[in-house]
Amino acid sequence: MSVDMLSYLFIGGSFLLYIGIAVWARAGSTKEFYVAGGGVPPIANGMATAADWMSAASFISLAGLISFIGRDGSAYLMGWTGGYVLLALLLAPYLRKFGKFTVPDFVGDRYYSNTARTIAVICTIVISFTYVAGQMRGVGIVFSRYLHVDINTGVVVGMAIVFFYAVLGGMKGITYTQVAQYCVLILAFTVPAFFLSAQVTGHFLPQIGLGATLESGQSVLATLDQLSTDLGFAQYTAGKKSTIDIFFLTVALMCGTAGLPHVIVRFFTVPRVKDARTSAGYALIFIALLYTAVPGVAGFGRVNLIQTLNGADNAGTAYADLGEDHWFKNWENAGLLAWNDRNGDGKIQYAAGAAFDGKGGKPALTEERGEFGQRVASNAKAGADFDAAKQPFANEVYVDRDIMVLANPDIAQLPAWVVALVAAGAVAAALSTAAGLLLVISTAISHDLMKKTINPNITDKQELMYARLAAIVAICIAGYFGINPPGFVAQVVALAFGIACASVFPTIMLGIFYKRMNTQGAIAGMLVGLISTVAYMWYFVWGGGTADEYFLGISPGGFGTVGMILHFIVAIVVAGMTPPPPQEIQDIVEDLRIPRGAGEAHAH
Amino acid sequence: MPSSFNMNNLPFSLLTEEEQNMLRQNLDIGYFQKGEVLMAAGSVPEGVYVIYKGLVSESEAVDGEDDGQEHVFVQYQEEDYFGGWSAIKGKAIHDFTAVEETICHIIPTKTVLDLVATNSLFADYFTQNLAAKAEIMEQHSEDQDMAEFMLARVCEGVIREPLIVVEGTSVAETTKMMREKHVDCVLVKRGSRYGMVTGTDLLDAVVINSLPLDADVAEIASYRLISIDPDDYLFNALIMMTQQKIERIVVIKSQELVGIVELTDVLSFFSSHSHVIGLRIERAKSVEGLHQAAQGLNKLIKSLVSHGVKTRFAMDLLAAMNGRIMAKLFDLMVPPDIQPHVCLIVMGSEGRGEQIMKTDQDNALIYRDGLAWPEMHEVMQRFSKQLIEFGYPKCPGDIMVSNPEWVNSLGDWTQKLSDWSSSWEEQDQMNLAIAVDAKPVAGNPALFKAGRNWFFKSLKNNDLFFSHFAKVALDFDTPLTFFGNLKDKGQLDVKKGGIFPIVHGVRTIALEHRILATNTFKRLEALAEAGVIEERHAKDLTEALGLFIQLRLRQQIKRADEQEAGVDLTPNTLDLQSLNKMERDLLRDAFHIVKGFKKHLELKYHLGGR
Repeated sequence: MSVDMLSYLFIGGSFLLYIGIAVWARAGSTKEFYVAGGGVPPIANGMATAADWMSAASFISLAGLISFIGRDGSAYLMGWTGGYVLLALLLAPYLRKFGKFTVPDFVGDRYYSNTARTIAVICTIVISFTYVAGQMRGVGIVFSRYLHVDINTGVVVGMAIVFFYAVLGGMKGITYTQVAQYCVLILAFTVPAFFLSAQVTGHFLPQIGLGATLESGQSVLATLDQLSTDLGFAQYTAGKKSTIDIFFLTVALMCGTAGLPHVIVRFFTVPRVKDARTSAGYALIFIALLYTAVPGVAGFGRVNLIQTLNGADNAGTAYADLGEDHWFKNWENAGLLAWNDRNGDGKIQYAAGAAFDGKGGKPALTEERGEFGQRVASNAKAGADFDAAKQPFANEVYVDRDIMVLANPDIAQLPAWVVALVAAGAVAAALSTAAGLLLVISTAISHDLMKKTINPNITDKQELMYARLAAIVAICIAGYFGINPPGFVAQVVALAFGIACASVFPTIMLGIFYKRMNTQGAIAGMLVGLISTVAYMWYFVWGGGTADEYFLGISPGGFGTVGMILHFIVAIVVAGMTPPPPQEIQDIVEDLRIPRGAGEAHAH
Repeated sequence: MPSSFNMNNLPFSLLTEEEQNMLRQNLDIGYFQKGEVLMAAGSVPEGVYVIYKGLVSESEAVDGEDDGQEHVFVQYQEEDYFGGWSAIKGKAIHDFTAVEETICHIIPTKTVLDLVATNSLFADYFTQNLAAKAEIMEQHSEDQDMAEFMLARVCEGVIREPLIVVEGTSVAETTKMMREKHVDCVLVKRGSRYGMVTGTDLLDAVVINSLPLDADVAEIASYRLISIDPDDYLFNALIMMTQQKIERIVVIKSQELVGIVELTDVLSFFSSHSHVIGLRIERAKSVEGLHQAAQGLNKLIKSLVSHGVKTRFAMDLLAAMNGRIMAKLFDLMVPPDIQPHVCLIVMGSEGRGEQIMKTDQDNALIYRDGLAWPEMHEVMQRFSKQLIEFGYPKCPGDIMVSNPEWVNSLGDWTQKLSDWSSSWEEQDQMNLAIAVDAKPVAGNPALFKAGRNWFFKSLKNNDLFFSHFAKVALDFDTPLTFFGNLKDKGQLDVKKGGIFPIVHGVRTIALEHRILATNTFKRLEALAEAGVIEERHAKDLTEALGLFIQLRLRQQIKRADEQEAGVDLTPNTLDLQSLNKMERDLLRDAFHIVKGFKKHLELKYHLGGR
């Protein structure tokens, strides 16, 4: 069976599985009232949390990012894992005790103000939009590859599927669907990783394989360093970003995680506090399972990519020799790979430098076909100038980083079923997160904004209608950003985390740990954090700002930390100058951390 | 004669073989063309029609128009029967027209009446169907007044014009006037207030307290009057009298005196024995005496139901009765000096006042912190045992005062409530659901109120709790197909499909909004009044729940009668086959209301996508 057929089968099959589980888990009439032990066991809940948690960014993009930027990519690994721990230990128990479902509800109640609630709603919406935009790109990449269409068409197909899945299907919710998604996702990620690791290093576990020595006697990383420098790239293990930038990026990712609305909710669905803790522990293990495999996959993928493209003799591969269904052509058709035969030898050569004139070396592909049948870009670099001292030939290839995980099994010529499995996993990762986020956006708009703030008298039907409408609008906007991405999936997602870090995180922290915090301080803080961070990102991502203009050398992704610091300062100063919150609120905050026993009622 | 007549259908299957033969012999058969009128409104009907083949519509000409426009109530199809109401009344109330070519069996009026007279089961079924049918017509009538037609309102005929005397009238004069008017009670007007004096009061005043005959009657009047609105149901008047242990209440409409309702009048209206039982309960001087009084309850319910009294009101009455039995037993068993320091509460369906037959004991005791009463557990054991002897079955979950778990000091009780509400274990959630419906029946209610108020306050704004608490209401499928019809499997579990979701959903919303009432119907009223639930929805839910309970009760009684032990083994099963088409339609509509309500809960409590 062809790879395509298998992919359809796997993607379709996994869908049927999710739907089947959802139907099975639906309300039935054969159950009894209040059956003991009917709850979700912590291990399942841990898997569900992990599925929610691992988005297209983790699954598709993270390995690609590390694969291309090397050591600096570890900020993402540390930030996201650390953020999860922060959330599970520092925030979730208190939020749970406060008894609110959504961050805006918490803010509205804790700061006894509808204005604060509204601003929190806006923050939530901005964060979720940014996040979901990243997911949509991920979905688009998968569909473009396996349906053999352009990435833009792929995004549109993805939009439709996400819409049906999340809005009409109502399937998100069901813990066991999430569990199934996790299983598909983790298999899809680790199985090819095992193969790759075994193939490249002879060790089965990618976690170990990365440190192994190759036949040549060199370690994997040393080989990578050598390969990279030979082709004019920077050393794989060398850091290019400044330490402060890496640090700030890590902190932004970490604290931003804590403000992510769709993950917080997971902590509230477990019956007992004890279970919540256990399932958080499990979730951490399940997340770590994937995250620790990422550096290995990134490294092996990189080695494979270079060696495959440049051939055994390190002189390039002839484009004409590629088969009809070759991975290079498939990805080229999707618009995520491009070849510009700069030296006219008909061979693909991969090295440092840009092959196209677009931003970040991106090609502007046209419908035309070149001499060998390759897609022609309108902005192809002419000539084959290169620094002969650093690299053997000019770079002729553009590779979209987000394809790494998906292309890896193809490149390594793993069995067809492995390729298909990866496709199903990528769809699962993107869908589970996108669906969760859409839900957050639509509730934020219909429930927090419309029902609780603007017009409390709307009927159920109207509320539902607003929710659907909000979901549609969200999907459309996300689709737009999926087609015109401001960066790679992981980077877009990092922006979302940055915004969350600057706007929501400090408000929640202060709300729990500083009882003197009042409305005025919270509002001022949220506004400062949100506006400063979004403005900075806007300027550098769309406004044409260049890296030299970075504040203290901090990239947009890391600026969330600066926004967070500003937020803390402004909030505390403003709160200090304005009257303290009512005693009742202060008591509640006190009770959050110091449990007060029941049994104080007295008969009069 | 015609062997084609199917005797297996209700209500004909209730007849004995002999009666069936009699029916067969008298059976006629009629053939009607499409459009032919079988029975015209106002005409004398031939009898009861049972459709063998075809379709007949029951309709009424729209008032004031002669152009043939008709308001169709219902259509009858094969094996449905109609014309019973008309046959008994002797006059058809609506037009019955053949919509298609129709063949009917006709049971002559005389035969029907004979059968009703000889077979009580048949009569019960027959008249109950009529009651249901009449109710539907009432609901479909143009003013859409949902008036419980079976149930009179206070203003409908039982109000007596009161005898009023002014302040300063002497005792002697008052007595004379009462004699003249043949009344046993008089209202005394003092300023703008009214007070009541009964014959007994006058007698006590003169004979026991030796007041002079020219004393001012206003001095001996009681000014704490129990009043009722003339538009209120008469049944409520009866309940008030039962609860307050009085024999008259004053009818007041917007602070204007309208008249007096006497117990005897109400009783004659209902011809039930409730008050008689009530009196026996009060008079019981010993546990044995109380036991006998308790025996009468089951009979009372049956007679109420067969009289067509709305189940809801029968439940109210029964709850009041059960409460009084328990309170009396408590009085008899718990020493008077202990009583102010303890409070007996009933929970679950009993706390809601929604049990119909005598259901399990769900009760608990709250006592003042630090109370020293060494015999407490021993007395409570005896109390539970006694109730079992009275016919209140043991609670299978052992939720009763004989179990020390359910005998708590106020402090422990609130601690338990708090633990349950934060634990989310199924058992704890169930305990909580039961406890939330608690109502004090004996002892010092302040203890109960203190606990409840503390609990209300502790839950304030805890969305997570309410979300989780509400969730079980969605645990069971609504028995409707994808296309909105009843899932026709012959039988369905009406508790899972309809009653539980409404009761639990309403319970959750009421808890969130700190509604003090525990009865689901009253909770709905209070929620509608507070604007939490739309008036229309509250009314729909009330109707739906009422229907579920009524249909269930009817089948329960039937099954209990059929069983030798008199016990219904499948109390929540509704047998769709024994419902007629109209009831099935109503049932379907009611399930649609449940479905809508579940959607509402899903949205309100964030139960949708997660």
